[in-house]
Amino acid sequence: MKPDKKVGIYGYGAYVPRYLIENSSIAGVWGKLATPIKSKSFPSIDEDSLTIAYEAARIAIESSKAPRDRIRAVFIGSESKPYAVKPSGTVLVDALGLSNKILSADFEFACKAGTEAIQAVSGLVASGMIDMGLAIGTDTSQGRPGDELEYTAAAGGAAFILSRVSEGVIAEIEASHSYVTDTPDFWRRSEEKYPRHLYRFTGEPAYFHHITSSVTQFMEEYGYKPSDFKYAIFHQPNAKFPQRVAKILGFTREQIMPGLLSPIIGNTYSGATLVGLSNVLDEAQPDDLILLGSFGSGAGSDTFVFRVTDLIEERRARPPLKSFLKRMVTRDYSTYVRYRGKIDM
Amino acid sequence: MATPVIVGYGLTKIGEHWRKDLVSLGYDAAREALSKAKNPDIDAIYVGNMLGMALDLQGNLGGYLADELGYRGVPALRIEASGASGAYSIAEAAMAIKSGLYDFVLAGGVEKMSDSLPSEVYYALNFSEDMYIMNSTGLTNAGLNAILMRLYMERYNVAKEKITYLAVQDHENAQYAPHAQFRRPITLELAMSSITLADPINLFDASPIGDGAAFVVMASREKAEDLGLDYVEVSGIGISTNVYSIVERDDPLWFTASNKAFSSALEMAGASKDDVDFLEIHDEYTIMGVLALESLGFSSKGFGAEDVWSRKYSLKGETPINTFGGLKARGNPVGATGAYQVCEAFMQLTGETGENKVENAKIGVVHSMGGVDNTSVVLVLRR
Amino acid sequence: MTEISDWRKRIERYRFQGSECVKCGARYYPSRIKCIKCGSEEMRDVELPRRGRVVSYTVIYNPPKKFSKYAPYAVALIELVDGTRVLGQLTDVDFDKIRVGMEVEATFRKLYEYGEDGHIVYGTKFRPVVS
Repeated sequence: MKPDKKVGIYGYGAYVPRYLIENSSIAGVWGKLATPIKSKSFPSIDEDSLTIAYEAARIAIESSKAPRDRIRAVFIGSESKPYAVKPSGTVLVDALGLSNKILSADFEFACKAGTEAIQAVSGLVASGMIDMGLAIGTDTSQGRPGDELEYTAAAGGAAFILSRVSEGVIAEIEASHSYVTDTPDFWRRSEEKYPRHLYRFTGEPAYFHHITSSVTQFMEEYGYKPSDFKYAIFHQPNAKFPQRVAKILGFTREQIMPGLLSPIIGNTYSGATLVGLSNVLDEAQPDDLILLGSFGSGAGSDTFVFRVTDLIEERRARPPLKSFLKRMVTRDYSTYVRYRGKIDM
Repeated sequence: MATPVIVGYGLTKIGEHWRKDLVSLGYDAAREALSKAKNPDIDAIYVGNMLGMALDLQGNLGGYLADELGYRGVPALRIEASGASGAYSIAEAAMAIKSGLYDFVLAGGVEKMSDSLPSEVYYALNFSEDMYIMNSTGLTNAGLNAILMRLYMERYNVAKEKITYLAVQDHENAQYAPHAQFRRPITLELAMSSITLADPINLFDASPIGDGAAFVVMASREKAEDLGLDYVEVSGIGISTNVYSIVERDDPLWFTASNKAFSSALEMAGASKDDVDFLEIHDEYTIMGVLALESLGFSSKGFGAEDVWSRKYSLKGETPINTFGGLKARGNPVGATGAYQVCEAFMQLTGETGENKVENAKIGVVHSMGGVDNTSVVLVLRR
Repeated sequence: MTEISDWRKRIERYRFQGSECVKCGARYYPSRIKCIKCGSEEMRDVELPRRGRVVSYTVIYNPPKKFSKYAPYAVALIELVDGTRVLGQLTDVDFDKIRVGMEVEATFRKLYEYGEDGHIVYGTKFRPVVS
């Protein structure tokens, strides 16, 4: 997809909570041997997907000096909304001091709700309906105690202010693409606390099929090849999948490593590819080309290509994601279950 | 102007009164005070109470207690100024007598805390502070005092032992007080090693939760003399308020309301600080007691804890304080506490003290606070 | 319903907004209607500086019911870079690392909730500076 008027990233910010639990600590509790990643982040007892969204959005606004009154949409992608009914965006509008003449909605598409929000804001900006909009991917994802997902379900988020390229952006969206089928690999019913999944079915027919379809169709349609890109970021539910999908699609380790955070912070769900993108933007140079392929169970995949501009240096996220990674501290399973509300009180 | 005097007092032992409710506790103490005053015709009733509406879900206590006591038709009012409620109701009674409007007033306070969960009690006690601040921060009264204690320790380079020693002295003084909640002497080691409530404040820095009621019967001196009643004069009354939040005060360690209330009360009494034979001070937390001693001028700034430590304020010291154990050991049934202090000052001045006697006491001072010096009441009692 | 008073205070809490005296410049958090320094009633809203240092602090182990879920937690008296003093909860901090003089910055967190099925109340807390 290419809008009539070109759209890009005006500013960005990312946030990961301070707490880290090592997979070995979880494995020790449940007597498992192999673990999919080294460690994962988890939120403090006073954090949720909304406060994480706030942190990321605040950094995006302050670092880019985007005029608050020109931001006229806040779309939050998350599968861990604090409320089932009551939008998170309304709190953000008042907390960030944005104009109250604003569109706001919460998006859900498993792990790709954040990139879906970018698609939606792009359309509004490109059409001229609004000047700037915030698209956020944020989650404090839940894994049932003992389940495979408990090793990876993590917390984090990133926020992107989009505007028309003519406003001056740090990265232009050259094109995007979306691919969706009914593939029930992972889900959570309305009243349930924890999601369920169909084990290995989440792999080939879900994750790999959708990302490869989305990215391949995109490259065919717009004439890109893997070697065009300095960076590639793929959805990262664990450490293995993104590396394998990169290989299948013909991307190298060097292209994906800067955007691959799951081995350390886990799968931040709606935040995952976007936190990866933030980390890439923290180091990218003008003219670098970035490919992003998200994945949301259920299932679908969004592909984007960004071209970095000269403005990147002056609008890099402050603090950068690395500052949050640097401050992380490891806690054991007992702190984790308490902070995550896994103890029935 | 009439001179207000106290002609009788009554108090209950402080503790867990599982079989008594708010009004029956008040009844017992009021009845005792009335009997000692030979049951005069009461013109008005003032009931100090802080938590009735929050914990017991009972309001309009004045009218309720008046009716229970059989004083139908008598004007009656509940007075609330958090921890100063009891002292405030006695101050109001004294002013009413002074005005000449009333000859006899029953005044005091009652509190019933043990029916509620401690977490509910701590929340309700927060009502003495700006609840917007308390709810925005999770602070408690103990927390607020802990912040002051650390500030004090840092600024004056004082060891915590010297502050906490006030609790040890309170327990020492309470052992001969039949109405005290805790009559067991404690060691400094025990006081220092108890569980932390709000670091650096631990259990023994804090006054306990307890039920209690204390009342006095006040009269004009003329009436008391006519009826041949023994009395103690309320010769000075001082009431003052401070900037509500400690962060907006020029110095959070200086209680301006206590200072002002004390100087007004002394002025009214025509007395000076040096005339004071003993003090009943509001030590809801040990640090509060130390800061009160400095703010009233008995210790210089930064030396309150040092003076406590050197036993300047012990029963045999230069100026005895909290002669029946203070808020820490006698107990702190919030809205009744000030009334207990007044009863104790009366006991000292009339010699009904047993082991706790302060020799030749002529002038006693009661200092009571609502919140951290948000409202302070000082009464000068003279034999 | 105190949910409604929480709503009324949301802007102050969310944005760490206090009031400033137009006449003498004194700043207050929470906001005041009248300046207690100079007596002026001309006050304006002001977003307070987000950085400050710890002047004194406590760790609450005995919380009111509303905060039980979060205890223990630290609360500090903080002097902001403009000299305004405020009380605020500290978060993302290890209690044994808190020091008088420690630099902190404002952040946005959950303050408390009205039970599992009630409102979640958000507001400003402070964390060690992330740079």
